[in-house]
Amino acid sequence: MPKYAAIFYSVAFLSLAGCSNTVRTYTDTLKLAFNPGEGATLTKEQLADRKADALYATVGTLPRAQLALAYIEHGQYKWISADNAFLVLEHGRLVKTTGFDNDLLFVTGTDKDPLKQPMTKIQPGQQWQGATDWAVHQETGYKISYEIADIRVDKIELLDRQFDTKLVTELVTFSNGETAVNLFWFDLSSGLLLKSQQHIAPFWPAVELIHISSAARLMGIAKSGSRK
Amino acid sequence: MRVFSFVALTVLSFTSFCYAAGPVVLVKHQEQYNGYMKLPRLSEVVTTVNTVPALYWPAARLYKTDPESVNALELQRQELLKVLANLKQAYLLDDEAELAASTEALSQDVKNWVLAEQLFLALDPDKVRAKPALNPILRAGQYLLQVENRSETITVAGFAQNTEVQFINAADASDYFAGIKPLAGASSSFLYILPAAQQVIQAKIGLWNSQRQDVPAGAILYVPFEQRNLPSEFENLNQQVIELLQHRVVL
Amino acid sequence: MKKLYLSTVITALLSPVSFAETNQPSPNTYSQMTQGGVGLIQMPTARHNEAGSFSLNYQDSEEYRFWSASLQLFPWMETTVRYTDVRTQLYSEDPTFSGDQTYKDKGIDVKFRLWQESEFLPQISAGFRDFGGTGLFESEFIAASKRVGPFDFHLGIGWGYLGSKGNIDNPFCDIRDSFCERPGGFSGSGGKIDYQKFFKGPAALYGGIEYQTPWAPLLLKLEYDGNNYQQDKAGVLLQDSDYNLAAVYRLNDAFDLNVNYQRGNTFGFGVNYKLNFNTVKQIKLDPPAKEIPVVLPTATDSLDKAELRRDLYLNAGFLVNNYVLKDEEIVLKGRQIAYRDEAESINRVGRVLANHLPEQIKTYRIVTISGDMPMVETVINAEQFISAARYETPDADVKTSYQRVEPEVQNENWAVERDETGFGYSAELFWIQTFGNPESFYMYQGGLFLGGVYQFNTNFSLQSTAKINLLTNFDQFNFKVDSQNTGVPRVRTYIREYVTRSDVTMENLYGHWKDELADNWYGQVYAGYLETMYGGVGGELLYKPIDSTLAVGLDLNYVRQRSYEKELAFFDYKTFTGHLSFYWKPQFLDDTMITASFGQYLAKDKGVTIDFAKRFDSGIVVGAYGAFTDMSAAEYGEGSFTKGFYVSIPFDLFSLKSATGRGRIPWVPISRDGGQMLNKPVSLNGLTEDRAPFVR
Repeated sequence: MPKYAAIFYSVAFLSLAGCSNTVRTYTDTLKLAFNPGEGATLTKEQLADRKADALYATVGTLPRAQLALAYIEHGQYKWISADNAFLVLEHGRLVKTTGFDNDLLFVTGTDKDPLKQPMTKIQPGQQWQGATDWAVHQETGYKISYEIADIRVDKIELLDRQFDTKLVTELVTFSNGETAVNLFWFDLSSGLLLKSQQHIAPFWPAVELIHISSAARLMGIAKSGSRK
Repeated sequence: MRVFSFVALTVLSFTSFCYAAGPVVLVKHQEQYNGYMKLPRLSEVVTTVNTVPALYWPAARLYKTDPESVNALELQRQELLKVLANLKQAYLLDDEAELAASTEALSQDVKNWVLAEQLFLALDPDKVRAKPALNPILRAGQYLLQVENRSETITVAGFAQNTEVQFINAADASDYFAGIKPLAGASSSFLYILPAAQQVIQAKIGLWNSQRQDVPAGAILYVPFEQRNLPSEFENLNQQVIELLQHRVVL
Repeated sequence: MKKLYLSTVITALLSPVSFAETNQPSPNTYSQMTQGGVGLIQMPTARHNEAGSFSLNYQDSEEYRFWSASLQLFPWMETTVRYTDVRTQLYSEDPTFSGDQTYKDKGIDVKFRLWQESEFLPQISAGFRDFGGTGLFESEFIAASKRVGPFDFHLGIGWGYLGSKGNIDNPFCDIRDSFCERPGGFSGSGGKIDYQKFFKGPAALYGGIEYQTPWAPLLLKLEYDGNNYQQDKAGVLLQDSDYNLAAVYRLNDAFDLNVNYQRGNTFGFGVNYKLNFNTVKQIKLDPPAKEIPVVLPTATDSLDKAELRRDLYLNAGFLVNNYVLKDEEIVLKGRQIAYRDEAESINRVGRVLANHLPEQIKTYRIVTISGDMPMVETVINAEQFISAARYETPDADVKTSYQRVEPEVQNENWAVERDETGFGYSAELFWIQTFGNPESFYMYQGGLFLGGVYQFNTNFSLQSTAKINLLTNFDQFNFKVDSQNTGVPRVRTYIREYVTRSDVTMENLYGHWKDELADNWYGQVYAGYLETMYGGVGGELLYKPIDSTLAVGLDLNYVRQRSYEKELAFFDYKTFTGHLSFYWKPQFLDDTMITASFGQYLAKDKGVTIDFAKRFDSGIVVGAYGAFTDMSAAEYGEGSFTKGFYVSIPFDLFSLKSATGRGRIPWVPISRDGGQMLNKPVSLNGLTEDRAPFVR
């Protein structure tokens, strides 16, 4: 019965060398995976004391991160994260990233962006087209088109206060035909952008941005315009 | 009080200027010169010229233009021209007039290249400022920083009649090849892409080997000689051309 | 408040083993065939994936189920291992032995690229399927592949199983008569490579077309089969059509799904999990390496030694054993426990040192120790290092500021008075697994190794390990010893007795002495209960110059077999065993280590064990070994000789923090009493890994 012996001594050790240190590494990893932090929340006092403006950023389903305004250069607001990644906003629109897995390098045609106008002039039917360039595989010139689909008044609550806002709903169409909806909430009285939800690529999760320092400034608890 | 300190400052900077006999680093950008009395970090150089959002940093190139750097490249060019002349002779001996003509055309092209040593550094101010590793101190010398708006054309070099092609959105390298008029002997299987400040990419564009490869804005395309047309002693010709082409200042 | 690492966490959580997602589908890999390996459906092609490509496959096609793993070891060599479940046959006719389990078989395939495709010429490969086994699917083939746009055309000649249709004359038959007939059966007791059968007997022409549809995820396949299925293990299979069809759907970068329709009457389906051992990586949330301040500390008086050690541990993963601070240099002795990449390790250590030490310290000497013995000294020129770490030139590279040298630390005035005497302990997880058993296909045992050590001085110690089983299904074993009595001493085949005797066993208990005897020479002596099955005395001598491509070791042991009935008792069987081993990293094969050990084995057979290990860029090591001894295949029994495979995986491929540990997954298709070495409690070559790193 040769077959009986066939797989006989194939008892094999899967040895896990590296001991306690390794176990700790894994526990840390699991902790991060299941509880990657509570998400950023600043109190009014903290906002009043801050030197640099703060921005909350939530990407996909992750807890939100807090970014600081590092530079304002030729109309671009450059927000930096704790790990030195940048989100660059132009009139509130995300137009560039650095430090991510696949960075958005450039968006063309932003000069036609309706968000450039004063808030009151943003109207349904306004549209524009751009092309996006990406860091991975030198992907260049992927079309993206935007059309403002709806305008309405909406209330949002920030720092325990209700803001009356103009909610701009924008339809985004990517080069592969996929679509998404962008939302922008402007403060009705000042025209300042308070919050947005944006999509920059079919493969990027939705990005939610809350301009918490702008809200604080409208409430009179933060000093005017400041950066790191 | 103010006036005094102002005067003092001026004198001081004047003396140091005299002492240093000019800036240690001089950077040319769009016909303007920026001088640095002390060796600058890269971030100082790039932020100085970063004045409009339309500047397309992914295609920015930084060249060192000192005579030493340029002379070394000049020697390299003479070497390459010698190789091309020999190759042309070899073709003529083999009665390959068309291939000899292609070689001659490339020779003429190479003779006209403006050369300067390209530094392979990330130049986007937002990247450079965020990471110390991307923000080195520059060596003393003269530099040329090329950063313009996103280009509407792609430069073509090598065995092609065209010197440029129109930029195409979201295009594969083979889409560009379709718009190129290759010279006799050019490869129809490979195309080299030279993006700014990055390694060369070999794009596969033949019917037998095609693989998707985008072409970044501001890149140079090199149309290579088909390898099997090259006698064995010239088998590295394409690499030699690319090495020099990396340091071509595209105007 | 906790800092959130925005970009890295996003990346980490979106794709645990990261691929950057893009607008275009990533370049496709060639898809797997039914039995594993790149090919059409039943028929192999000349195609090879990129080096390091790995595919784990499950395929179901009515009579057969295949589990296979295929790895592109080199750009020119693909290897595949496979378990086959023959659904129509029983494991054995004896239900008390294997119940209603169906027939299982193992197989190994290999394919070599002979010619690369060019504009006008096809790619050509030759391969061997299921060689060296019971050979259910034993075949050889030569195949050519040529692509034209979205079509990939394949043509091949198969011999053996693949050529059983016999639709052409064997071309080799014209050259030599011996090629006209294929010898039957298999040599020895199976498990040997049957060279004498290669390319003999009936041959068949086969072919196929793959079509990449305009929709990127979908690939279609059509093949003309070279097999007539008249001699299948599963029985004669009806073939209504010579053509087989398949569709492959690429779900994403990691998974392929496929369905096929074979022989005009049978549906099949399968799933493939793809990975590249060279490029696989994990996002790391390690603390950033320290930046070097503009102004260095002015004097050593203000040096906070405790903080220096803490920074070295937390930021550089360097556990300091001792140090000495001199006028112009610091000597640090310790070991790296987090960063397995040497450049990363030295970069971090150097940066921490530069943060704490004044400018007059011109040299940092980092002595890596292993088992208290200095292994290698990395001498950093502090000035050059700091300049490079501050990026003071555009081409700054810290790697040019240090070099590895022989440690020179004989009579240092160490800062810390260390008591080398004392107790130590350790805990390690283990997992034993075995596939394809008669009782149950998968059997396992998991638990803890608890280690204790009393150290008398840096050279001499008393060590012991207890094995504690926590999780097992070994109680399903319905026999403990096989019935193959060939007269060979049972030096290993009592394994089931040993692993099931008790849930708590004494794995080893021994005295151990080790030392660096002279430059490049290391020695050890041990005595006691050395491993699960043997006790005795032994010693080893190793010659290993720094960063050399060759090390040589010699070990000699006199051992007695331990009893599996009583913890401390011995059986009567005694033997000398020992080997002269060469550890060689050939320059012509990248990241490869070949180990050859010549000597006498536990069953007193004499011969050589050859171990071939290939390291991939991710740190994954894949190896194979075989023992070739003077024991005949008949004496050896099933399998003919001892052989096996293993994969060693760095732990931190699965964690968000760097770590140096590794897990080793062995696969021993067959192993009996011949060609069995003693498992020495300590391997000197492993202990001195840092002197000439291979694994890293």
